[in-house]
Amino acid sequence: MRFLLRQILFVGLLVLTVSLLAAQQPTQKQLAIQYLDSVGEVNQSTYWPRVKPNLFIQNLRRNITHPLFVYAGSNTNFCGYAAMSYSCISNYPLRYVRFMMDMYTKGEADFRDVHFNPSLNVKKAAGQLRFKGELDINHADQLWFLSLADHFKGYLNWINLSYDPGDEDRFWAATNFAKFNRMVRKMCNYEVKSIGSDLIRPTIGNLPGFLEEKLAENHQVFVYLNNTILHKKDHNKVKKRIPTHYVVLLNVSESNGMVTLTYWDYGFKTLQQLPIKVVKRIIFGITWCKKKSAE
Amino acid sequence: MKIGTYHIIMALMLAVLFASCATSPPRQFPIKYYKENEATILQIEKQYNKLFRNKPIAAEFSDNDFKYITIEMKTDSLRYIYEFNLTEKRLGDTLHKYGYDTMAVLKLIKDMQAIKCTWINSMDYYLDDGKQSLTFMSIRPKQLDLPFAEKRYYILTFYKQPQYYDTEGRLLDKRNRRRLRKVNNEVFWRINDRVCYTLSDKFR
Repeated sequence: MRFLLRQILFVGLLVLTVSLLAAQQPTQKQLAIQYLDSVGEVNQSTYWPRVKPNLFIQNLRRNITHPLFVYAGSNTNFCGYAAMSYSCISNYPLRYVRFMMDMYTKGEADFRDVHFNPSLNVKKAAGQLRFKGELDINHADQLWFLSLADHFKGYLNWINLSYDPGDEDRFWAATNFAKFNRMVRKMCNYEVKSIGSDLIRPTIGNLPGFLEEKLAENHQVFVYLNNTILHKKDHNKVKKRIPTHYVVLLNVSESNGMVTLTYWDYGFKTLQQLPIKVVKRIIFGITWCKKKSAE
Repeated sequence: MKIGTYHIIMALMLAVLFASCATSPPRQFPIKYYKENEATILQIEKQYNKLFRNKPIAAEFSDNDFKYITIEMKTDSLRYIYEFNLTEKRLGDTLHKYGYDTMAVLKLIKDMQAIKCTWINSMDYYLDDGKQSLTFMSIRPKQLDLPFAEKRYYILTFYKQPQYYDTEGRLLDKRNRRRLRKVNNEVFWRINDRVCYTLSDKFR
């Protein structure tokens, strides 16, 4: 009996010690901040002549601490990269910050198995994007988005494969659905599943229920949709029936034919109510993913 | 009278003529419009800025008949977007719930409706790495509602300080006075030192 009590006490103490040690383990975010602190003063990169070191570091620090604020810039085609980045930086801040420092100091770097060596035009353009709202001063984001757009290519980019100034707003930076899913798979250690396409909407009976179910299963859910209705920009009755925008879905609920969506885009969380028929009309693609257990 | 090919061709030519006129109104037109409605426009800008200073807000008339208003209310953590019929009681209730000066917002909406202002918000822009803000207002006057034409808008931007313009009256970026400053990818033209306009097919 005494032996059994001793054994229980020993196991209890062991569990307590292990959990205390685990609690003291720094998080990925803390490690990323520590890494950035250890870097100290950064000199002007010769590879990225227009990316100012102070704005670069300031932007990196903010992205690590508040990935929510990642902003693709106004009127750019960076929304797909931004949606992926929101998830990627939140889950892998250390990997992100190491990659970014390598890119800045060496001009090329690896993110998982993906080797990035952006073109000379892209390296010259980063730090020079203007009139894009906060992206003007977010030099790390300029470098990151331009590098992603330069590396990942889909059929929408075939007509414009090499960067010229202003191409961040054009087909050079566009992201079709298959490219988006490929990018998420390569940049994040996720199991990725999707439904939908660039032209034909998915046929799902209970769309809000489907989205709700994916969120309830702790999936990261990305939605590919037609932005001309979500963020209306004109009053023309004829609307192009094509998807144009990516958002990260955070919550969804339905009541009396109205769907309340909470999503992330443009560096902000938005809660918006839309009639269910509108929601069905605007959604062209849904990607849901989960972190693989082993890193 | 029998409708022949000649009549169809004439009708098509007239349609094309209408459309081309609708897409290229004279440059002086927005300035004239602004001068005629200056008092109301400035009143809206002033009202809006006062409201925005207390709590960020943006308003959009979402339909062609100016009967539905979409309100964007920004808190620190979330932006709420709701659409209301102007006659709905829940418009006032919602504004009150989110801590807005209900009477002032309703007055703003009424004034916007009167001059067919479709959208008003505050926009950030960056000058020498410093954050600045401007008020962005879109108006769709009757003169721009022409048959066979896509919807077009006068966009007015209100700056806090006087701006720089070239000899043609185009807005310049202060950082480099030879470079044109674009807002939403559009070139803007001078109305006065701190107010500029452009014609756009998008209201935001």
